[in-house]
Amino acid sequence: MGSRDANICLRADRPDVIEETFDGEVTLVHLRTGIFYGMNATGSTLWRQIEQGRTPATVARVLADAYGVSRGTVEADIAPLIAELVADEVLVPAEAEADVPPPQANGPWSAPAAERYSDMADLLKLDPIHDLRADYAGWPIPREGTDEAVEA
Amino acid sequence: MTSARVDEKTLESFMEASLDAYQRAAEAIAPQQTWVDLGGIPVGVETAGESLHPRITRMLLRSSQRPFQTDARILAFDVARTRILPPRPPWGEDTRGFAAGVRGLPEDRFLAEFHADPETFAVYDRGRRVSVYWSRYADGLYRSLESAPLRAQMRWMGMDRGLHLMHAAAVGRGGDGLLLMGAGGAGKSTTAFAAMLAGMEFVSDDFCVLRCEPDGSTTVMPLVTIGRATENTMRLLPGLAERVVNRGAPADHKAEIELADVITPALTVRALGVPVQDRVPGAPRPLPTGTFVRKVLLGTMSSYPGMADVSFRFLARLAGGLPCFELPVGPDLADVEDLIDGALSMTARVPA
Repeated sequence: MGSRDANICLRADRPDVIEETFDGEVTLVHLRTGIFYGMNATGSTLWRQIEQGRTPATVARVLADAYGVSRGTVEADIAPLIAELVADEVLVPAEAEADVPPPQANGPWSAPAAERYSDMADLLKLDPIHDLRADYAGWPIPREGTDEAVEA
Repeated sequence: MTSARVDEKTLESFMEASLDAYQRAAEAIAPQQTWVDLGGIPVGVETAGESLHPRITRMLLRSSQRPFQTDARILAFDVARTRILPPRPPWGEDTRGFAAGVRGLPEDRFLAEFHADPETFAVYDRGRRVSVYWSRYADGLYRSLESAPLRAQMRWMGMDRGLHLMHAAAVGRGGDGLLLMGAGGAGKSTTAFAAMLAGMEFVSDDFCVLRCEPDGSTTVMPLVTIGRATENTMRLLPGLAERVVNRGAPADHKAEIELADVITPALTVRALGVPVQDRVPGAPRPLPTGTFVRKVLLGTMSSYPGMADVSFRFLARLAGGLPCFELPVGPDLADVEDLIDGALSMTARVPA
């Protein structure tokens, strides 16, 4: 992540992103894409810092302060996960930074990580609604190039 | 990219047009009516088209309550018999959600799902508690009726009464139940059938109804009276053969298993399990809640159209309050009874 990207404010794509916390670890689901993530402890801490709206640079600073590690280390460690969440549209640009309480270190620092599950996304891509034949007689769904359904 | 949104007034007009289409269908062919049981609540299923009615009702548990107590209705018709087309829906691109649910609707009022193959469609008005279900050809419905007919509507109607349709098998002992969860093919049905043949209490092999009780416990109840078994399951469990009701069905159809005489009306859920097929049977392996949820999330959420957030939170609440296990089922299924008894015995009980 470049320094320019690190200063772009991000937030969770609400209401399409939903989450639950189990034993301190976040599991989140993106309802629009079907992708879900299971985050490790520091990934969960990162998520709580950024999901309401923050820049990666701000998140790196508060995490570095909380865990007592260098900001450079944290910036390098959080960049891959943030980039993945942006690519999956779980994180989207935000207007302004939110006021988020500083994190509490819940153990030694380790790189934030998440297991990514795309099985449901694959199911959603099997989208019969938009794959109907051009001569589909009856109801009901618009196809590419037309917004008119054809009725028998 | 944001999801297309459809306003409530437009949906109201669409619902009216759908009800009008059903009315015209019912005038074309006299409707048939059955009352089915949804966790103790009677649901009226009314169908214009005599070939459609048995297909969508025959597997469902019948309600013993009187018709006038019906508080939810499903109105169904097919085009092949009635020649009535449903109205054109008011949504377009970017509308497909989990399990063919239609996204972008005002879900506090309307829910809908659509399947292109076979062509079926359902819309539900939560305010009036009425759903219109449409199919092009009743004869082509087999695939959409696998597991649990009308399950979208049953789920939607149940949610408004504190009930949750769950993609899970349920078995138990002495009133204590274990939910077997996981994606299709995980072994839910096979494990549940093996438990049934071993004499355990049996509620469901695939879909069931859950009710949260005032004391914080959860009750599991049946939805269907016919289960389904693969060819492999039939080979592993020859005791099922005498219960098969669709002998002579096409080779790609699962065997349908008559269960009405063995179904237990309710169990209290004490534990959750995800079966894993193992070379060597073992003891139940406790799983952290988050690990369990991630293992069963796909099989759970991909089965429910609409209100996916509610399903996710319900699953989280359920798993957060109960012990969760991985159940290593051996190749000959001889260990299933011990495995389930083991999981239930490891359950932390709250003293009465």
